[in-house]
Amino acid sequence: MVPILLLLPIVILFSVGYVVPLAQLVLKSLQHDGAWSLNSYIEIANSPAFLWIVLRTIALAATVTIVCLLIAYPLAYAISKCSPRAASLLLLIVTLPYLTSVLIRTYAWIVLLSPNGPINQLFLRLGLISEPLQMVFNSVGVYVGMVQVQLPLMVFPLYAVLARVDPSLAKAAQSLGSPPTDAFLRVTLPASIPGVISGCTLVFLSSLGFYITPELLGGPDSYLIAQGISLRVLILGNFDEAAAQSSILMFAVIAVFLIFRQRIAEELDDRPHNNISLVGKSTSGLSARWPILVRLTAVLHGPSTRLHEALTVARRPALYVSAGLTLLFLVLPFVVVIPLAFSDAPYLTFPPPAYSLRWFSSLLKNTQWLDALSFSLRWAGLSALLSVAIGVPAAFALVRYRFSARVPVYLLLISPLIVPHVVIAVSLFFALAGSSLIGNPLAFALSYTIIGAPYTVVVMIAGLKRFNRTLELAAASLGSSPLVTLRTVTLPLLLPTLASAALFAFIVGFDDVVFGLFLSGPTATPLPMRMWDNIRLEISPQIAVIAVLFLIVLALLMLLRLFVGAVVQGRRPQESLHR
Amino acid sequence: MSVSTAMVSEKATAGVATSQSQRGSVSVNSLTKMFGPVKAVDDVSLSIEPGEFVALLGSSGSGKSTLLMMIAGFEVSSSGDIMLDGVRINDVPSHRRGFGMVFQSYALFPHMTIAENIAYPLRRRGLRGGDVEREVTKALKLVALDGYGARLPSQLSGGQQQRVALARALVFRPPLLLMDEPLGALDRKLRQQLQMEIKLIHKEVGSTIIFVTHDQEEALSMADRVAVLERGRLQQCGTPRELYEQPATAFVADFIGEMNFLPVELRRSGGEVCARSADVGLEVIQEASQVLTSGDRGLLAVRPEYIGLTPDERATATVLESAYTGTNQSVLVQVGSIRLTARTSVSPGRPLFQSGQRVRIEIEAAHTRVFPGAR
Repeated sequence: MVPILLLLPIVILFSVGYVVPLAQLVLKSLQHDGAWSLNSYIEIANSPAFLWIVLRTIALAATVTIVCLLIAYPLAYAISKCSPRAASLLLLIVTLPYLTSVLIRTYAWIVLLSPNGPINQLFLRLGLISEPLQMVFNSVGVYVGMVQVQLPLMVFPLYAVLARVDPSLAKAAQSLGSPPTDAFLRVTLPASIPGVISGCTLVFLSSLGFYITPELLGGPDSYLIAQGISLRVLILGNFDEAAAQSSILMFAVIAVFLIFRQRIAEELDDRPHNNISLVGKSTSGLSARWPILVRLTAVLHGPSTRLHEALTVARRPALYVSAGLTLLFLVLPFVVVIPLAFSDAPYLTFPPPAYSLRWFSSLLKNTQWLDALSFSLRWAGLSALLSVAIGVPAAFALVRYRFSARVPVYLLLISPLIVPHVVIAVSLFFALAGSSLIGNPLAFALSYTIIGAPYTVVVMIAGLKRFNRTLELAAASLGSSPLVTLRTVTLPLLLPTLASAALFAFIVGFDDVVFGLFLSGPTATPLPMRMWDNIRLEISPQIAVIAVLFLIVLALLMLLRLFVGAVVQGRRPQESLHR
Repeated sequence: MSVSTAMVSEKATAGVATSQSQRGSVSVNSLTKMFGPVKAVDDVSLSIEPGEFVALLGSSGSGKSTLLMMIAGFEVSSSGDIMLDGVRINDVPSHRRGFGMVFQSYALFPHMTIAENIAYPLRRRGLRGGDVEREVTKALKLVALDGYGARLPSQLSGGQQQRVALARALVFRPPLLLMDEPLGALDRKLRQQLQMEIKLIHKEVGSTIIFVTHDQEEALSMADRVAVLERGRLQQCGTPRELYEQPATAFVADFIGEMNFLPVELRRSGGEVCARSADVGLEVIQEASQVLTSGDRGLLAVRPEYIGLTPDERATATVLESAYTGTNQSVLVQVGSIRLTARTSVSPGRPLFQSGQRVRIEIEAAHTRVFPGAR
């Protein structure tokens, strides 16, 4: 009974604003001129252009996933070897791009990669090239931008498993005669396979429905499925085909998600994370599934030992260089954006010829920008509060109670993290079409909450699982009723987690472009929509100013979060963390 | 042992009128807890007098913590009754049961100062202002932490934190104090010091204490009575001396202290049982107790200190190994197919036993016990 009450608000909101519109979208795709028909699907199937787009999208998502894996693994591995303090700082650097608007990062890549941008200038000066390379508004730009945008999604799960691998296992392997690289291949790598799978799943799924980066950095040759859908809705008015393509994209994503859901729903797993069982399971699985691999390593033993010895010398420098370059790649856009904000030039040029605050004052004088900013702050803020209000009780229900619908409800609540925003936005556009809610701030509040609440649920679940429940038993033994315990013990201690949850939900709404494209109206234009138009139509240093302001606010929020965390966690004795 | 009898007689003279000092009697009747098909606690009955200090002793998985958690109300029993001062409390939520509890992980609220932690149960009971302050000061004094009130738990050592937890659990004068392996996270020296302090505090406040531990030394040295649990079943509940000298089961005999087990043949005649060990050439005649009704094989239990060794070149027993511990020498002896540990006191001038030495074994029949079963 209690879990039902706790889940009721979020389930009602998700039903109304998410499940029903998506269901309507699927139904719409199965209709033509008011009758049941597979017409839209037949037309799509007969269109070679669509098939090419699908193939290109899959190829792009797969390539981005592989590149991310290759450069994220050394970084995650290097971070897992760092001291806890250094590791948390490096993770913060990895998080920074994730918390910053995709628009800002994409804008920075346009600057960086443009024919007269810093990268081309550097190459020209070094004499590597004789004329500027065309790296933006084609697939090169899309790949670079996408990899940078998705990289954090790969680093986090990899780091999570690598940090759990007991370092003494690799040492034990070395003491038993394995060279370090061999110990890595036999012990650490197999143990990190779960992280590789969940990282690849996340990046691949998220790349499939990506919209902003391909649209801004790509050219006509790198047209993807999400762009096709929005084009059909916003320009061509071909709603039936848009509905069919959205349904296909959604079902494809859900199918991949369900195949790998065990890795993703692991958050709800009650078994303690045991290093040894994790390793044992993965290694035995590896040998059993690929016996050929075992035989191959046996055959290659002699030469491979020499190779390992060579690698033993080279691996440390190679690891740090690779990790360093990846970090540089992550922060490069911010390095470029900051001087640009102080440019004195009336147009975009890098490096700026002179510095001034003209673009700051131009922003403050422009009521359109200020209106958009206040709109975004207000409605993203409201949605963040709403997300916390409905997400926190849901997390309590999912962590503290056992009921049959637990895993399905969890999957439903986190699914907006997986289903492409273009699909959700199109479904809402259809559901609200003709009503006064298009162009109404309430539509934004609803959609921001639907994409923000999953973050609050995930963050709170992690926080609640770390929470030492003995403290609640202690409170009960001291005469405190469950509600008083919640007020005096549980919530005060979870305050930093609540702050993180709210921050994530806010940023997700504040950064949104996709819903803005479909739901904006004359009286409801969020800030990212203004930025979007600016990047597409004139591309001025104005965006850099917003980026700098955004970074300052983000830094302040993080400091605040660290402060709140220090106040509560600094008081937490080490013992109470390990029961 | 004597303390517990004194309590009983005191209650008998006081009659039915329950005064403040006599609250805190606990009894569990046929209490069972199932986790799926597993009986974590299996039909346990136990009755604890007001003011008594009872230890629940067992290895991990014995059900001792589950039993405590059911008394605390943190686990729901599958069947049976839990009575506090004659009232069934199975359905009373934890926070209304009115016991104090000390946890192994201390469970101090990390976001509150020491004083706020100790004031917590008082505030839940509606106390305000000066009353709270006075009680907190008294409680801090009780655990010898005067002046630590303004600190945070993380600024205290493990032993100090556990003393704060004790103060917090006692400050509202609960008739019953539950302690779940309270000293398990501390090092040996600190543990012994706190054992003494807890005994002194128990004398001072007079609450009933139920104390869970896996450390038999701790249980024997602290408690008035010790309840030994194994695989969810109560093996025996008695004073430390009863457990050591008259173990009710082979498990208790083995678990408490050191014990040798010799396989014996059993023969019954009339009301007596004759246990004969072929290896040692020993015969013990005992009254036939309930457990020895059937079977022709048994185990004879004898403690190392009741095995006498005399050097004898013609004897069949051989010394395998020995360990000198100052006042005693532990000697491992091979007799036929069995090995026995003997403990002999060391007196000045007398030589120690050496490996390979032949010895004659003497076992005092009065200090042996016979159990059914075989090894």
